[in-house]
Amino acid sequence: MGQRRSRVGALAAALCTALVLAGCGGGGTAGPGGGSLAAVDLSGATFAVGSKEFTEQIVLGEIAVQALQATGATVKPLTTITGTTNVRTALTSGALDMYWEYSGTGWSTHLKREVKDAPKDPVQLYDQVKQADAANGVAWLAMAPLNNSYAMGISEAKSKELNITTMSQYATYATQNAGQASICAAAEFLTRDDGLPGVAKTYGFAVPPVAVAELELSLVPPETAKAQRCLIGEITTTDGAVSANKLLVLTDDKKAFFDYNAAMTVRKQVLDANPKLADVFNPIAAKLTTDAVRALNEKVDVGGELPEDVAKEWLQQNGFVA
Amino acid sequence: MTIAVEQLDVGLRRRTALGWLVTPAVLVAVLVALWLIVAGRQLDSIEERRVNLAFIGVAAMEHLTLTAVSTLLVLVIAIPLGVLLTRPSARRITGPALAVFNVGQAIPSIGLLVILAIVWDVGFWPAVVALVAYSALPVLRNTMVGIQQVDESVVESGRGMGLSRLQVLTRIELPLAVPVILTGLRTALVINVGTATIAALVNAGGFGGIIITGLVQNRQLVTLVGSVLTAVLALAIDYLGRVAEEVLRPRGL
Repeated sequence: MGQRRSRVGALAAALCTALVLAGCGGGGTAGPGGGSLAAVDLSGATFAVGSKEFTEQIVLGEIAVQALQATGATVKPLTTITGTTNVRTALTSGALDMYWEYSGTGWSTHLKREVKDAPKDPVQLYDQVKQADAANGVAWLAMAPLNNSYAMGISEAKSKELNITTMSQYATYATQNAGQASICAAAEFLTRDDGLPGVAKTYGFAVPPVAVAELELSLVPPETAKAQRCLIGEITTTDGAVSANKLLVLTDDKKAFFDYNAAMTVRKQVLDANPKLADVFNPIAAKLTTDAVRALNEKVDVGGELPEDVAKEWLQQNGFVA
Repeated sequence: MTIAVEQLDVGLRRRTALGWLVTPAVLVAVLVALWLIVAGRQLDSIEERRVNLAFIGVAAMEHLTLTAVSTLLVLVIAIPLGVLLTRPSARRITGPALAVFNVGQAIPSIGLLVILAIVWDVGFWPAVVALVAYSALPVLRNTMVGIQQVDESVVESGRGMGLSRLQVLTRIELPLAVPVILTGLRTALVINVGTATIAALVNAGGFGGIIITGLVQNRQLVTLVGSVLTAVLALAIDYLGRVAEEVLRPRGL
């Protein structure tokens, strides 16, 4: 009798767990509810939203997906595509309808313009990119204050030991200690014109092959923190991994890295057919500051939270969704 | 993962001298064609950083070193172990030992590299460990199969002639197993050339660096160059392996 009861009990517990898990699963059948986005009506429309592969892009992508769902639209998430050029190609070829891009990346990678010709003012840079990209069939919605530029990071210990807190100091060190100066980075930064090649040119230090440790992007911050294989490493200013690995951001005193303000890029046809997309993303962009987004990234990279949960929380806290 | 067991069809597989020249000629032709394609294009700044002789040369050396060292380690680990596992006294550990090697091959190499990066380090030696784990199984199995497929009657006649167990092993079983073992080794070499492309993710260099850049930056030419070079290297090593098999095949087989 006791055995049968415990078996029934176990079955009931399993069923309950399964139901609870089913209820918890997945992000997205939220229909229009409270919050400011509920006032925008995009029901009946379907959008494919993409993103690049790093945490910030995944979080921003999730914000976009959930924001659109709150307006009643159906959303196809195509996040975590590796490589800027691949996401952009997906956009221009029609596989994607929109994704968050950065003004600096638009200038150097998509418009293929020289880094040295870029306007120093972030708003001017954004305006020029927006104007020029219209010819490519890509529309840029409002720019966010969020400036996620490339930067070089160094472990706090090495920074104190060698007294390196700016890029110029690193350049001096690299030139005087050719054997010891080395850089951890992933393939994209190593080959982009506005990546390491541009930095080395601006600061005037050489980058012999032995001074480069090419790694998978996610391995760069931990290896930079270990400071064995490299002295400095490729990071971005809002990267959660910076604080997770106790890295110091080297000051870009000669402004080798220009501005990378985030903005939603949409295929022109999609925007023309759905002009209300601007009403969805412009208010969101206004609230995306560098500090706010860094905090979101840290929640994922340091706190271990899921991007969907972080995105939902942020949208709720800012009154976009209920 | 199928075992490539060489068919011992004596005499039929002997090629003419000219036949042996076909593969190198094809590989050289492919390289020439690749060069012509690259030379005919104006490379942009990103392509230039990877498709240049200096970078390719260094990548080739790194790739060869990774392949050579990992295959040598596989040879040293898997062949003696394979011989041991065919001994009657090892009957009980054969199952578990094979399971370990099966797992080594089943774990995706990139997953293994990440685990090693977390618990140990990145760089050349973790990459070699991942390569050894992946390619040890074929060599092990081929060694075991090679020895086990030696005709029982030949072994018995050896014992009958008064040879000790060890002498039977070294004078009869191993020489007869050499073709199969060498095939396994050749398989491991070719596997390692292909798998070594992921070594670029952990700062161990190789052709993978070229391929990864091409993929991330969406530059088809770069991807093509990296992939073709890797394939040519794999085929060249396979060819050299066949030559070695031919040369090292014991007389009378």
